[in-house]
Order: sequence, then structure tokens, then C-alpha cells
Amino acid sequence: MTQELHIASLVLRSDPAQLAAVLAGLDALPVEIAAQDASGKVILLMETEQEAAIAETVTRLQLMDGVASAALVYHHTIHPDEEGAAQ
Amino acid sequence: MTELSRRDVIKAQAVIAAAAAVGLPIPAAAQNLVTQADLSELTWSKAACRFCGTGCSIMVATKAGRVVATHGDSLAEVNRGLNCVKGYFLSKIMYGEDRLTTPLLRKRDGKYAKDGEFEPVSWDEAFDLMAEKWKKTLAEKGPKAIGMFGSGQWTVWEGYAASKLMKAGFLSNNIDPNARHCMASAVAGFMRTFGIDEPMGCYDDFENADAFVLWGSNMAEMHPILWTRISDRRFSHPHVKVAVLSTYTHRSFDLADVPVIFKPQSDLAILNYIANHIIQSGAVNEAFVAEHVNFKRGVTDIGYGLRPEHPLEQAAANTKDPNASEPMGFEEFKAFVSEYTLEKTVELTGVPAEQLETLAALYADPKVKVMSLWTMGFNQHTRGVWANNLIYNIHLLTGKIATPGNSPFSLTGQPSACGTAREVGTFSHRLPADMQIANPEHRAHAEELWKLPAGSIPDWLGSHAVKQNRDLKDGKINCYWVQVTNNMQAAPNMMEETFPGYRNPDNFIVVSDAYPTVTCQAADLILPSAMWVEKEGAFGNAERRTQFWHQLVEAPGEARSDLWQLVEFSKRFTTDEVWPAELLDANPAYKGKTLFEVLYANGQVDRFPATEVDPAYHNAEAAHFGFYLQKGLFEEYASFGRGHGHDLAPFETYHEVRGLRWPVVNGQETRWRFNAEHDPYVKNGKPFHFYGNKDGRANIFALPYEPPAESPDTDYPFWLSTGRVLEHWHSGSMTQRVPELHQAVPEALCFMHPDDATEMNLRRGSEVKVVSRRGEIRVRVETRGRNKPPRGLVFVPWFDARRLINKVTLDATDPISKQTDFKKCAVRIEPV
Repeated sequence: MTQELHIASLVLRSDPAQLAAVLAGLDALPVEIAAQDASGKVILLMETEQEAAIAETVTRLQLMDGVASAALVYHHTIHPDEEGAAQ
Repeated sequence: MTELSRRDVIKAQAVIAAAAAVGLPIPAAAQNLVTQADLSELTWSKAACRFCGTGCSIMVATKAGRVVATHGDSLAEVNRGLNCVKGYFLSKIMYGEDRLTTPLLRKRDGKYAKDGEFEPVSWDEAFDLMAEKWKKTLAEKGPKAIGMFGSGQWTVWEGYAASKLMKAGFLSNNIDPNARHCMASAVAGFMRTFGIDEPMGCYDDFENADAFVLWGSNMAEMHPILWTRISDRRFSHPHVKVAVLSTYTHRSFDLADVPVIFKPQSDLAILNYIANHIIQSGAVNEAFVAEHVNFKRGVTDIGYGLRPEHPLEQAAANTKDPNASEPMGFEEFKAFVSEYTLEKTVELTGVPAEQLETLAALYADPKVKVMSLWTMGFNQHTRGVWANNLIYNIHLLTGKIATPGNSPFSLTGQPSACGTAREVGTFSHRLPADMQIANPEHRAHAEELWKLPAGSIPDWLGSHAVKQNRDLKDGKINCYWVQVTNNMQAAPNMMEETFPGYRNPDNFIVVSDAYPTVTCQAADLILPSAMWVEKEGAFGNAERRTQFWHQLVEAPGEARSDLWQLVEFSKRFTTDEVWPAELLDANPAYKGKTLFEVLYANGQVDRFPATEVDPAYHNAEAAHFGFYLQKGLFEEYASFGRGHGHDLAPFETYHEVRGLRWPVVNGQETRWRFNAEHDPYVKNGKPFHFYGNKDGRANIFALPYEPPAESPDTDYPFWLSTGRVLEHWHSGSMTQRVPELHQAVPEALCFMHPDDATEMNLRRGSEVKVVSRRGEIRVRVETRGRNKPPRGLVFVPWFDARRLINKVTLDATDPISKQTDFKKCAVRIEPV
């Protein structure tokens, strides 16, 4: 591994009435749906070498119809020189 | 461990943190993996976010002296594990490429020159020159000729040390925080209505209210974590209603059941109409009003806080004492607001009648618990104090106050606008714990706690933020120190007032910052500051919650905390050099002492040894000064408020807990002040006690709609409103240094209605000039996007240092609070 790797989890609070449309819209974004429930809460996971993609994705999520808020929960940077990660 | 499994473990950890934050079950795959987690190699510590006034707590992991991971703090009641996009960038703001790491002085031919170029100098050279300038000015012109401008981003002890250095050391009240630009109207509103600052309620109101009313505030973008709590409440309880009021449509309108667009300044009419509706519909809580409320008539026609020679000030009747009022009765108040009929209010505001009626009904219905929320829309307003008073009127008339879910709630924009700027008393007219410079008893009490000779704290009111800039331009203030704030960009009317003041050849301007802001560029000496977790810190958020963090990493190069700078600078002055001879003759024990000895090594601030610092953490200031400076300052400061309604817990407690809301009495925080069930200071035997006022009652004020300082006309046909966007915070001096954040919204735009654009043959992306009577800037037109102005109004965010909208804005202020109105002036749009 020669690049930093970023792992982040995100939480969406969406309007339950628009949840299906929101979930469909997520296809276009570099996220993985880790969990969701009918109340409109969705947990997303991102793994990227481009840190900029995280901010960009949060911004795009925030601007999606039906999304009331997009928040970040966890962010970890794995540096290329880190023991273990290089193996 | 292989790369794959390590990544999987971290991913599982990320999912678990998210599931815990929102109360979803943890997916089984993730659950199995963390049992083998090897994440223990990271050291995790809590820290309060250094961005907005919400006060989120963040867990920060360091490794080899750098921050490598963060997650929202699941133990924090405020954010419950969540983190907004600004908080996400916390770990990156310290590592910008242009970080300042050495003092820089303007020099020519090896010597200081006002028109010289910046060159690196040592701290000694920087402080020697500063001390020389300060001493010369103090000797020639006295303490009114020096000034300091600070911030709601100062930590609690930095603001306290600065206020003490100015008021008790240099004997000058010319210190003001940038909170003057954002919170001063809220403060004056609290003091006039309740006699004590800051909200009575707290964030627990979000889970108890049946209706939320946003007065101008765009919480979806500005306070996203709190917005999540409102969204949760709204989606999980179908009876809950959200009303959003603004002069243009923004992101928060997505959740609005009652969306209201009103003409700038006409919020005053809406507030009075609601009061009138409450009275006319018989919804007054008569028992509450009879027991707990006074009625007062405030003076009107109070001017616009412009320079005294301005025609608007000359024409105004009550510029001398705009804060004056006289008692009145309920019947008189009823007659006063009866003018604000539905018809008249529709005409003044442009809001449809049914929207006004729906909004008023939320407040009038005794079964609906209402939380009102506001920030700059009310506060940056030439009648901002009135707007604050008028919202309290509505909550007091209905008794919807100080109980869970019934909450007029003033939000804040900076992380310690409350904890530092307000509670510590860094305003030019205040002392700690809400005490006032103008009150001789308050000055005497401060002198006693500070161990100062009687009569040493000056009795004159210092210059506030806008007046400081005018004083600099006029050559009245000649030595000026700015810390943690980008006031060149933030202050109004910069080309006519701020910039000429900084570059006035008579003046010496010092700016402490972590990055080269436009304010640094306008300075003569730049001092490099440590930021956030490079120092031990404390902030106080909008719900009275005080939070601490430890120093987690070292500051780069020669950067030092603002606290270090203030206290180290004090060593260069003796009382003989800066105090009047009469004061020293009457108190010879103070002769020949340094200000450091009088203010900080005074037997109180220096009484906790450096060994008391938690051995797990470094503390640069304790190592340098030889005692636990932060603890000493905090405990001395806390002595002002304990037993006086502002009680803080012991210092160590705050390093353990996720903050506590004052007053903290017998280890218990207070969630709803003035309420006998929750607040130990309620001692009148009744359910409520507004003990900030001597008679125990809150004040309802009769105050009218008055027009703004400037309105559109044929030459300048558009309203200009300024504000913020999610990705940037305040002036952008930190956030614009994070490349990915900068790319998200690279430059400020001029948001306008598509029909206005079409009429001028403009398209989305066209370059235009925004021109006012004071200045102009070039920006690009945006006709789509998240901010949708009505016809006749344009909106320009103010984070962009290359497109300074404050060349255009008007320096009209609220005459009571001295806070600038950045939300309305008249402009024209010219195609380029």
C-alpha cells in the first residue's frame, strides 16, 4: 500500500416517507449501506484513498432530496508506513 | 495482521460507532470482528470541537504526535456520537501548509517599518518592540489609547487572562470580543428581560417540544447536529411541526411544515402580531403573567449606531439612552400591540395571512410546547435587542418558558461565545459572571477577588468592536492586539473604516493567529498561535455546558498559545510604568511589581503546582511558567460565579465528564433555570423565579416595528443579505486551508432569483459587481442551488477572503448592543 487509506462511517437521517428514493439515490455515490431501518436512519461506510471523496460525498448526501441530515461518525487514516497495513 | 483483516476491523469499528450513535442494532458481521480488534494501540482522548457553538465532543486518537483518527463521542449528550462535516476536519486544520510558525514583523533595512515587508523575528524581538510601543502610548495618551480584540474562540482561561491583563493590568476597558458581531444583541436581550445572561433551557428541549420555530436561523447548514435532533423528533412524532422563517429559502425549509419568507426587518411586526393574536384569542396564561411578569415600554426612535454626525443619528430622538424604559400595565401593552393586526402585518411583511395565523396558533395553543431558535437573523439587526425581547414576550405571555420543551433558545455561532466571551466578561462593558463595568459595587467586588487596590478598575466604558475600528481610523487607539479572529474580513464597511484604521501610520497593530489571514496581512506584527488540542482548553457552549480537553499534540515551530503570549507579555511591564502615581502612592505595596506578579503570580493563579497536571498529558504552559496556569486561572475565575447563580464545578471534574451545565450546585448541573423543580436558585417558594431581576420577575417590553437603516431605492434596488454556508465556517481562515473542504464551495457566489437575473440578461455563472454606497465586489451569479432568494434580494456568503463582501456592507449597529446588521443593506447589481 503506497497511499493513505481512509475509512469512514456516516449516518443519514432521512424522511421515512422518502427512504426508498434516498436508498436508490445512494447507488450513484461511493458508499456501502451497512445498516438501515424504516424510521429513515441509514448507516453508510466509505473506504477510499481520496480523502476529498469523503467531504464531497457528505456534501452531496446533505443536498439530496429527502435527506434531513448527513453526519460523520468515525474516520480513520491508515498511513502507508503503518505496521500491519503494509503487509 | 494482514492488511485485509486490519481494514476489516477498522471498518467494523466504524460501523459499530455509527450504529451506537443512532441506536440501530450492530450488524452481526461487524460484531464478530471487533472481538479481535487491535485498535488498543491508539490513545483516545476527548476534546470539544473548536468550530461552532453547538459544543460537540469528539474522540481524538493520536499516534506519534499526530492526530490519526476521530469519531463522534458516543458518551456526549450533545452529539451522541455524531459529527458534522466541520468537525470531521478538526484533525486537519492544524496541518495547513501555510501554518504560521514564527513571529513576523514588517521591516525595512533591518528595522521595524510600517511600510516594510514581513520578516521572521524572535519572540524576544517581537515582545520588546510591542512593549516599547505599549509603554510609549500609555505614557503619552493613557489607557484609552490601547486596545484589544479577542474572540469567542478563546478558551475560557485565555479570555479571562486577556480581560484581566487589559482591565486590571493596563487599566483599560478597551477590550471586546468578536462575539460583539454575533451575540451582543442576545446578551442585551437577556439582560433586559431576565437580568441574567444565557438560555434558561437546554438541548433536552429538542426531545420535548411539539413545535420548533426557526427565526432566521438555517440550522440544517449551520447547526447540523442539532438539526439531526430536530429531524429525529419531527420524523418519529408525527404531531410535531416545524416552522422556518427567513428572508430567503434555504436548506432548512426542506423540513418546514410552515415555510415563511418575510421582508427584511419585518420580523419585528410578526413578533408583535403573534403577541396581539395571543391576547385577542384569550391565550394569555394569566396566572403566570400575574405572578412572574412586569410590563415595560421601551424608548423608540433610537437611531442606527452609525457615527454621531450621520444624518440618521442626527434625526433620531433617543440616541443618548436607547436602553431606557418605563413601567406600564397589561392593558396598555394590549393596546400597544393591538396595532399589529393581521392585515397590517401582511402588508408590512409580505407573508400570506394563513401562514401568519398558523404560526401564531402554534404559540397560542396551550397544549403545544414550543421551542424558538435564532442566531444571526435576530442578533445582526439594528433592532436585534428588540427582536430578542419580543420573542421572550411571546413565551412569557403564554408561560411557555423554562419547562422541558418550552424554550426560547438563543443559539451561538462560536465554540465559546458563551463560555468565554460572555461568562468571562471580555466585553468592553462587562466583568466576570454578568457583572458590569458601570456598576461601582461590581468593580469593587472584582478588585477584591483580583487582590487589586480599590478604585483600580477604570469606570469608563471601553470601545466596542465597531467603535474600536473607528478609533483606530481616527488615531484614538494606537496600540492594538487582535487574537483568534479575522476581523479585517469580519467587520463591516472595511474599506471606509477597518482597513484605514489598521494602516493608519500612527498605529501599531499586532495579530495573533495560526494562519496568515487578511487581518494578519493588514498587521505590523504577526504572532504564531497554537490551536485547539495543541493546548489545554475549555469552552462553554450555547446550553451553558462547560467542557475541557487536554493538550494532545505539540504546536509547530515557535507557535505558542494565546494564553502563553498574554501571560509572558505581562512580564515586560511594571506597575510603575503603567499605573497612575496616585494609585501607587496610596498602595505602596504594589510599587515596582511586574504585571505578571500582580495578575498571575498573585498567590491565587499560581497556587497549583505543575505536578498537578495529569501525567498522561503534556502542558506547555505549566512547563514554561512552573505552575498549573490553566487551573489557577479557572479557579480564580470560578470564584466570581460560585454562590451567584453561575456556579462551576471543581476544575478536575471537567476533565472527567462530557461537560456540565451551570449552575453546578452540589455536583448537580441545572437543565432548566428559573424552574423550582430543576434550579436550586429558585428560592421564592413559587414554581418559577426570575431571580436575575431583583423583583424576581421577567420583563415584557412594548417595542414597535421601526424601519431599517437603509432600504432599496431606485439607485440601489436590491436587498443584500450575508451569511454562511455549511462547508465554511465564519471567515474561512481555517476551513479554507483544508483542500477538500475548499473544493466543495470554492468561491462565494451571489445567489439571486432567476427572474431578476433574466431581466438583467444575466445567466447562472455570469460575473457581476455587487455595488453599495460604500464599495463593490465581483462575484458570479447563482440562480439555482440551495439558497433561493425571493425577487429583489441577493444573498452573498462571507467566507471568501478574495471576495470580501464587507467592502459592501453597512456599519449600522443596534444602538443598544452595538452589534452590526450584516443582514440588510441596499445594493445594485451591474453586469461585468
